[in-house]
Amino acid sequence: MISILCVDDDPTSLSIQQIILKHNHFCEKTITKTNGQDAIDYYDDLVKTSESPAPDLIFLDLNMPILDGWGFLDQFHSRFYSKFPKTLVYILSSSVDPSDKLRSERYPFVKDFISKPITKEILTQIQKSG
Amino acid sequence: MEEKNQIRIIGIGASAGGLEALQNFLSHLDPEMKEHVFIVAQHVSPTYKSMLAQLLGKSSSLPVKEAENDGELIPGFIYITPPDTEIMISDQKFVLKKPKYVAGPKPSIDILFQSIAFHYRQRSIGIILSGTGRDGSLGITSIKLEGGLTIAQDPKASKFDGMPIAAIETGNVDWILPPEKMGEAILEYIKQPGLSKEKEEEKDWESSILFKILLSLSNHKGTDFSTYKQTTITRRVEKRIESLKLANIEAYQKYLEDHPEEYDSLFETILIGVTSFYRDEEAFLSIEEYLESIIAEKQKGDSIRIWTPGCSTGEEAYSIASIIANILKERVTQYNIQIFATDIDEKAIAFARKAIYPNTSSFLFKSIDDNSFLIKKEDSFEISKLLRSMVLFTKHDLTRNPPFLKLDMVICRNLLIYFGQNLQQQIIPLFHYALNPNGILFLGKSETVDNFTDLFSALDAKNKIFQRKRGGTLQTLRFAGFRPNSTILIPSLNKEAVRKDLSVSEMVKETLYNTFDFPYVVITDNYVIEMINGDVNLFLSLPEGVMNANILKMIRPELQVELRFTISKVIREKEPQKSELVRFSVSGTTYLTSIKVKPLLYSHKNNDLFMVIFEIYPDGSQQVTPRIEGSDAELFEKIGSLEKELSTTKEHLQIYIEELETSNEELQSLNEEVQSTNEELQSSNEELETSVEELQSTNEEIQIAYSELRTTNDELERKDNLLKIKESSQAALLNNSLQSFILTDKEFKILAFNDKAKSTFLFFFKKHIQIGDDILVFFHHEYFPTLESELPKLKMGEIISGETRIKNQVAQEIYLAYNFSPVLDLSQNISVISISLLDISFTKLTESNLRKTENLLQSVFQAVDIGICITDKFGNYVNVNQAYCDIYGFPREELIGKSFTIVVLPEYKEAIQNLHDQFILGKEEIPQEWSVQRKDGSIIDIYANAKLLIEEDSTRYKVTSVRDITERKKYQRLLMQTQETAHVGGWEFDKITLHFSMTAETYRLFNLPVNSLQDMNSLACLFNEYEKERLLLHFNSAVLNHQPFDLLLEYTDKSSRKLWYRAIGAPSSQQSHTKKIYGSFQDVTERIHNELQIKKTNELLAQTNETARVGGWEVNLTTSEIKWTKVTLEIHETPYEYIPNGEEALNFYKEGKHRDRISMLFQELISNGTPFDEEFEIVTHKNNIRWVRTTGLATFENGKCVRLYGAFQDIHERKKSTEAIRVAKERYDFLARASKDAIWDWDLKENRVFLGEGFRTIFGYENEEEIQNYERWIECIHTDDLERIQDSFSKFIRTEKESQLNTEYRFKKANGEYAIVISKCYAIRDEIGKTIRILGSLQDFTKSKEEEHRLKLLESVITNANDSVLITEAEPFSLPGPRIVYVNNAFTKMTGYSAEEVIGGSPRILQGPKTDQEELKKLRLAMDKWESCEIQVINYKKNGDEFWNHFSIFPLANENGWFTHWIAIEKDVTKKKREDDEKEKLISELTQNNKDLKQFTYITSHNLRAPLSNLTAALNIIDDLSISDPMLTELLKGIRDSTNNLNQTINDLIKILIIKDNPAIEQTKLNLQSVFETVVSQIGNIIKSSEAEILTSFDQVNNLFFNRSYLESIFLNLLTNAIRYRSPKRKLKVHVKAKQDQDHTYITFEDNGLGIDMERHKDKIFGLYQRFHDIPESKGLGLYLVKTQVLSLGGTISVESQVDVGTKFNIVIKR
Repeated sequence: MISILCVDDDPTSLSIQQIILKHNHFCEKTITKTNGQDAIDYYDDLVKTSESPAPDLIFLDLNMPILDGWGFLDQFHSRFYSKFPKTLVYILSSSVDPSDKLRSERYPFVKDFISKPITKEILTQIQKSG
Repeated sequence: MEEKNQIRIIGIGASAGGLEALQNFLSHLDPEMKEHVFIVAQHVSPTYKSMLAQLLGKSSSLPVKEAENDGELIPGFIYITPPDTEIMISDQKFVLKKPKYVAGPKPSIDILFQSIAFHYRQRSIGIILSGTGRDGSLGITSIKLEGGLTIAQDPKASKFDGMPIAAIETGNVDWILPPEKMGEAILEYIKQPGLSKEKEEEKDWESSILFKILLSLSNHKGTDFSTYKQTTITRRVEKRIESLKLANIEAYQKYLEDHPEEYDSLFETILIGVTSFYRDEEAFLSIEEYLESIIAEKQKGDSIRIWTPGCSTGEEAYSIASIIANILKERVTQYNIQIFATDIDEKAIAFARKAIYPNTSSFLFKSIDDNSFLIKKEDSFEISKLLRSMVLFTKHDLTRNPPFLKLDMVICRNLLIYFGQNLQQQIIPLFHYALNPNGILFLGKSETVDNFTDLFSALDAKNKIFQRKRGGTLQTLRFAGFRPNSTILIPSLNKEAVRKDLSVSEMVKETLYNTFDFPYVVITDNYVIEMINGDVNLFLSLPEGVMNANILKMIRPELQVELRFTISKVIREKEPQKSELVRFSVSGTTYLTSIKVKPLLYSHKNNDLFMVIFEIYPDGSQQVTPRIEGSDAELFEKIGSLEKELSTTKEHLQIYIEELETSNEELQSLNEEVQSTNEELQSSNEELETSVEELQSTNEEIQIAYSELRTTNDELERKDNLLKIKESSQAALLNNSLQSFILTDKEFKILAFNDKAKSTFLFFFKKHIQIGDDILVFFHHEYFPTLESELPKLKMGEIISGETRIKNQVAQEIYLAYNFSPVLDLSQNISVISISLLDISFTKLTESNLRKTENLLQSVFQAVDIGICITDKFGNYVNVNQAYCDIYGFPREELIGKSFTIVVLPEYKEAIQNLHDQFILGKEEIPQEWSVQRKDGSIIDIYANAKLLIEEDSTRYKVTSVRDITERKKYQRLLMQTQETAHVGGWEFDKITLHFSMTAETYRLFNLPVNSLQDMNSLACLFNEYEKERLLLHFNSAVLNHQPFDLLLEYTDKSSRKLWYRAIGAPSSQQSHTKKIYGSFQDVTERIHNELQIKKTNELLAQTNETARVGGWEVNLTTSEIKWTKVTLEIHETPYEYIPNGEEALNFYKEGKHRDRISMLFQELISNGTPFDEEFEIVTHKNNIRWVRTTGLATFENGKCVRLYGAFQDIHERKKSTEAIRVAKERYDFLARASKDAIWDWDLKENRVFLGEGFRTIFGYENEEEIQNYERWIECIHTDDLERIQDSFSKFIRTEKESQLNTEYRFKKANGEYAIVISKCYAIRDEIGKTIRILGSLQDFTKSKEEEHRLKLLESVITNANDSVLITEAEPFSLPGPRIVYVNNAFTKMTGYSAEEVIGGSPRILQGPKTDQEELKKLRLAMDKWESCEIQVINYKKNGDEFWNHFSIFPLANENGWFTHWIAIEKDVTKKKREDDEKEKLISELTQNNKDLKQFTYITSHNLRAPLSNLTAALNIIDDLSISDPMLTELLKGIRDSTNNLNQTINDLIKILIIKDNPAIEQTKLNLQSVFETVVSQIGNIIKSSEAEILTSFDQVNNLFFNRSYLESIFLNLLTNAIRYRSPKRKLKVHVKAKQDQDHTYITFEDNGLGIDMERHKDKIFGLYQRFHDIPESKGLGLYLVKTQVLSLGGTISVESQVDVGTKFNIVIKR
């Protein structure tokens, strides 16, 4: 029943994510966006049309062109969080900068900071906590 | 009366055991007792019905009855008290009451006895029977005090002895008897007072009227005179009878009954005190001797006790006191002198206490040398306090009260003469009792100790001075009263009672004594018979002549020789002797006697007593004869045995006698004890006396108050009488009056009226007035129109009066005057209204006639224009007319009634009043001119004439007419005065008559006799030639041409004085042509002189003012104009035209205290005129401050200040110099005090050096004697300097020119060190130039020297320093900046400016356009705060080159802490600055690079990690896929391995990066062991497989602060390294140890592995990517990581290693 939004500028990373998610039967539906702006646009549409249900979970990369992860988090926080308060966000980044992790913790909806690659074990953990 | 007097009331008190006693008492009562009343108070139970009456009735012959309240006392009855009742008697009736108190026995015997005593006095008898407790003892005392009889049951015969003993103990019990004896004794007591003849006399006496009078006097006054000498008393009473003009004593007795106050008079008359100071001077002189001897025996502090009973008004007592004081003089305070002066007359005592006596008695004191005992007053004198303190006055009845005891002297003079014989007989023993042994008794001239020679021996018979003999009688004394009634029966001890007290031996003795046949007498050693026993008639007989107790005189002549011989022998030998047998015959019978004389065993005090025993035998010639019949031998034998027996008997007798004596002695001592007890009682009695005395004084106060009251009362009575008299005279007055008087009440109802009123009303109103009529009915409205409206006024206390005209019955017009007067009571209400009416018709008529005449006169009086006044004989105005008023300016009303002297000038008032008085008496007054004063104070002249007017009634008036002649007089006087005061003489020349006349003053001017000149010519001749010409010329011109002239003529008088006369002449201008020439001469010399003088003075003043810069100022307060003189203006530096105004002028004074002060002074000046002279500072117009001196004075007119003026002086220069001197002086004083120099003063003549304080403080010479001359001084000078100094010194001394010498040398201090000193000396030389003294100072220069040296060094440092040094003065900061005082060479080098160029200038010379102003500001701020500061700015060299100048400044303080200079150290830092700039640039570049690199690293790592993670993820997925191709599998394995390796490497790198970048890593407290175990468990498999042996010892470490993951990583890396590089040759052993000290934790990690070649790898061991072994997994990252982690937390790591031995890592972590 779960739908996931994966935001990452690296197509390889995105496809691998999808494979892993699919492979582990983690979700029913995955939406992928290649940068933060696309993700925001997606949410704008979502709000406008209200056709499809909002994603339950977001895997968000930080290092992205146009609008990076931080930009997305800010906008989501200000514009959509109130509408979709149940949305959980996991930062999925190859960054090992500790400051990034600290920064991410400031957002209430960010559940965890996961260093890439995402693994079966991590998914299991998310499921458990979910 | 007689009958009643006989009745006795016998009160009987009894309690427990009382019934038996009562029965005993009653059964023995004689029937005769039925004349008396018996009242029994037997204590009985209040609750039981008493059977007492029945019980007693049986035993008594008299009827027994229960007492009833209000029942009469009937003689012959025995009354008993009902239970629970108190019994009392009052007025011969019983009063029974319920007991007041629950406790206590009932009935109270005390209450009964007291009431009996009160009502029956000496007719009371009280009996106390058996009982316990003390009831009755108070009652007994009351009865005793009233003179009744008191009896107590013998305690020994009582069942219970409590009550009798208590009664006896009061000392007021007369008899102690068993009950059965009481009745008899009482009967005897009642029946007879009279055993002796004397008593019988007294019985007569008692029945006499006089006695009764005395008795009632005793009842009134408490003093019984009945025992006093009858003749005296009779004389005194007769005196009273005489003065009262009574017929006889019976009348007097009656008079006394009616006038109880007469008792007082009688009492006083009887007690006439006749006494004076030193009464009987001779006696007093001799008593002085005895007093001296008494005092001589006394020790310090002893009491001297003297009693003078009957002291009367105290003169005698004070006389004795003064004698004692005179004897003792100043020792008087060492003794306790007590003179008890007693009398029964309280008035006399009160008088004596006051101690003030009339002057007439004082001369008596003259025999005493010292009059200081007296305080003189106007007509009296007061006894000094000293004497008064010696005498104690108290009321005391010699016949009743106990005596004073232990007295040294009794002075009882002329008192006994008043006493009857019987009383005297008791008083003398009393004195004996009271006196000390050998005490002195001093009696009056006609008194004697009577027959008490055994008690007193005469010392001076003439002066009646007696001495108490020792011992004397043992006679019992009784002090409770010497009444005849009670004294008769003083019971010698009851026989039965006595009997019980005697021992058997005593009884034997007594018996023997009584049976001893021979009579004997006891004699003293001077043969006086003391005692006689037995019948001695045979031997002794009374001789004729004077009574004499001398045994030798009384003995029979036959026995005399034998007796004398025997007695004298006994006296001599003190052995009993027996005389030979002596035969003598009496009336025919012959007796044989032997006289035995024995000394008594006990000497009687001071007297030896002897017993003379007359043994008598029958005459042998008669008696022996029959015996002769027997044989002689038998007879002799018989006689012998008889004699033997007799002698034995004698011996026995002797023994018994001795025993008797002993018991007597015992008795005596017993008696003495009793006496001592008595004495104690006496002393307490004395204390009581003192308190009585206090009460006495209170009483006196009450007396005074009483007498005041009495006076008031008398006054009231007197007033009452007066009132009565007034009332009656008033009534008479009213009736005599012509006026009608009616008194009404406030409702106008008539209360009373006089006769006139009656007739008036009849006449006018035809009506009889009656009391009770309404008076207002008569006062018709018609006649009394205003009355009704006025009536209310009465209520206000006002009087209504008026007149009215009434037509009477015959239509005659009558004038009535009426008057309503309210009489107000105390509360201001009308009590009575008095109305009076008077017919005034005649008066009215006369009045109108008079008025007419008067009017006529009045108009004349007023019409005349001459002032007329009428004054009465006192000179008071009676009338004045208008003209008079006009003349004097007084309105008429102000004059009338006043004395005419109101217009008289004060100085004449008295004289003119006299004139007036004489005029009134008839002396004529001549019309005369007077000067008088008008109301407005102006003085006018009048011409007055007077006439005396004598009226019919001979009253006299003075009528005076007055004319104002002031104008006329004025001119006369003016002229006179002018002439006199101005020295102007006038002259007149009549052109027609050619008459020349001059005034007296003119003659005086020329010093000529009056009227001695006839023409002007001769006058002109008095002047010198020249002036004469001038005068005459002008005179003639005036006469001829009517030319007036005014000349100043020089005139030389006779004494050649030069005078100036002004001559004026003018034709009279009265008419068109001149008839007369008038002129004057005036002496104007003085004016001329003054003018000259003023001119001179003014010049001088101007000059002075100019030079002293003294100006003046003036304020005219009326115009508020201020004037300043030129100098004043100059001092103020104002323009000359400046005109100051009020405030402005004061504002020149410097604000603050100067201005305040001057303002204050001005205020004072204006209000009080207080002048001032003070110095001030002013601020001039040109703003300069100057010192000035201002003085101020004020002029007052009519008490108002109108003008202020004063001087104004510039004292600036003076003040400045004074100030300068003061400052200099102060500075000098300060220096002198503060100077640290040692001062010395060498006197060359004396060769002595005086050293100042400095020698001690500076050189340590404590004792100035160490250097006191030149030689010693020289020794203190350092030898190296000595010669030089001596040279210059001797030169200095010798020279005459130089007075000062300065030298420098080393001077030895007290501690031996040398101080470098600068010596300055000044020579003082005498007139011939010889040096006599040198004054000098030594200044310890050592420090200064050292300082100097140091400074020199410093200076060279500064001079040669590389940094430039610049010193400026401290101020000013502001432009142009502080002045440079010093720069060093470096400064010149740095800036190019030479020192000369910059010193005196400002450091700002270095500043230029690029100098940073902000930095300079910083500098200035610091300087403001006196702080040091460092700045760096661009400065400019002399040649204009810029340079960076780094300079620091700091302030320099002097020793007082004052900042005086700034020091600047400057450095050219241009080069350094440039380098710094480059360095900074490099660093920032590097930092940026670093930043970029770091960013780069992250990005790199991220970019690396991203694909790597993809790879990893992909590989993970692949793992889940099944791949069949083996080659692919192989390839995938290779990819996986590479990916893992790459991942690991990148992770490591990232880790390092994070550590490096993030030093603030969290540290926690760690347990080493657990951390290590975590690590071990992580790599458990590897360890297991390597079979490594791991040892840890962490025990020593308790707590380690470190990052846990770091520590884990460290251990992990080291452990994996150890396993990885283990030696294959041996089993791996790892030993991890840890220890701690204060600061560090040491961890060693040791293995026995391959080891590292330290020589090769030493520097690289901890490097990145360093690998020392060819082992595949080794990447060369581990140790680098370890080191990084250790260092990041402040630790260090080192390594020791040997190849193939092992490696040891030492980690040190800071705690």
